[in-house]
Amino acid sequence: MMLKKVHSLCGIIPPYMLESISKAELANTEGRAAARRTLALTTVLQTKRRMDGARISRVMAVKDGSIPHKNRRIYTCNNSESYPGTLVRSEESDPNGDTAIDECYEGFGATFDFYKKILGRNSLDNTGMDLIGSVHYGKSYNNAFWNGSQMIFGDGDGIYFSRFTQALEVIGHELAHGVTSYTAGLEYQGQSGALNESMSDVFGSMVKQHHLRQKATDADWLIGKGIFTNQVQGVAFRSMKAPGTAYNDPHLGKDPQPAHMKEFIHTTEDNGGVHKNCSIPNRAFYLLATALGGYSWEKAGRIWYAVLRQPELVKNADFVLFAKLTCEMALKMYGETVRDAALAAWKAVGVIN
Amino acid sequence: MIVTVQVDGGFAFFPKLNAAKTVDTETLPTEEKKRIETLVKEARVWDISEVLSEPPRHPADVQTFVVTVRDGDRVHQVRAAEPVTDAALASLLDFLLKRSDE
Repeated sequence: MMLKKVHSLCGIIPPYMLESISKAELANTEGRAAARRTLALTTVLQTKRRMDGARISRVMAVKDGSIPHKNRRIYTCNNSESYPGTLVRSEESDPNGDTAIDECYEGFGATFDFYKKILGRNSLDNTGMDLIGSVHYGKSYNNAFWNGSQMIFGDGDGIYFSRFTQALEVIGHELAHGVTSYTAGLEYQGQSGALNESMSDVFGSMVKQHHLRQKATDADWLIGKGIFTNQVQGVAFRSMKAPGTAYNDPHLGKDPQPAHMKEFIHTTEDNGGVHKNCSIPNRAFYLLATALGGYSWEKAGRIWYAVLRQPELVKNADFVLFAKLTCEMALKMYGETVRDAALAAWKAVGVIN
Repeated sequence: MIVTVQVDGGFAFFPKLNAAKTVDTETLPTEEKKRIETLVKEARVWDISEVLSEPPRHPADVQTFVVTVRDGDRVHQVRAAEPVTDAALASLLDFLLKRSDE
């Protein structure tokens, strides 16, 4: 019997590189495991390819999802409250010309690249999940949110708020909610909810710093910078560096974020104050990153990410548990000096006495 | 009739934006009073479930709207997460939130 001729389709990452990643000390456990899975799959596929043709290999690799691939899909809601809306830009397509659409596309790319290059993570779920965003949601809509499977961004009312896509850390923040939901799954209530929010601020800020190649001491550590119009007396929604100082405006009120546990806000609003008290772990991260110097993702970011994937970080974790785990991880990954710096950061915000 | 609306959640907490806004229709000009009472009636606020919609699973930064209506001894509260798919309730919310912004 004659075999039909098929087109050859090659993998994106060559086997030698996968082998290298699977053994690398610097790669995290998931990264090594993913590389091993991909390598094993590649070996199987190479044999199979010879037997059945290359087409099958591509189908399996895509289904496995272990080969990092960026697949962005940006929709417009056309100012309706229905999403995802109409597809307006997909992977490798040309710029659309609409600022919000292109900012969302580029922001998703910068975030994907950060997770892939720095943390060895393949998209939000680590198996190559498509990044889906809807812009121009609602009329004069002052918000951005993660709905459990995609991001949604408003244009702002133009009076106090402008486009939510224009701050890269906001895009990174929303996508980090996806990462958290696929890892620790921190419950969105009380202290675990504040940790969930803090994770998004920490990774959102690192995405921006990585994109700008900024060292920790040079970064602004602001969340939502540039979204306020010039009508607002404030610089951003939150300051990781100096909680409580981001805005003080007659229309919005004063930034209520505490910088220390002694100012912890007990409330039933906002899922138990998740957007208020997230400032405490935020500041601990800022203090550690700046104390260590260099880029925030080199040590502090890797510690936070490793803890996020630890089974010991339970869904209803509180600040003390998270602090303890980060100190233990700092010791394990980088030794006593970094552990002591982590301990000092948590002591400075009053989480550890 | 006393109507209160509050926006809970969202990307950030803003004390004044997230504070409950209350309006007593008896203190309003006739036209505005009628407008609110009509919107409340059209939204069937007295008849719909107290929790109209919850945020999706693993949500974050999703806003929830809480509308409380008092008329004499009767009190009823409705909670709805965005997107508010009930068009009549969405109209009531839109009117109340825009009004409180003015």
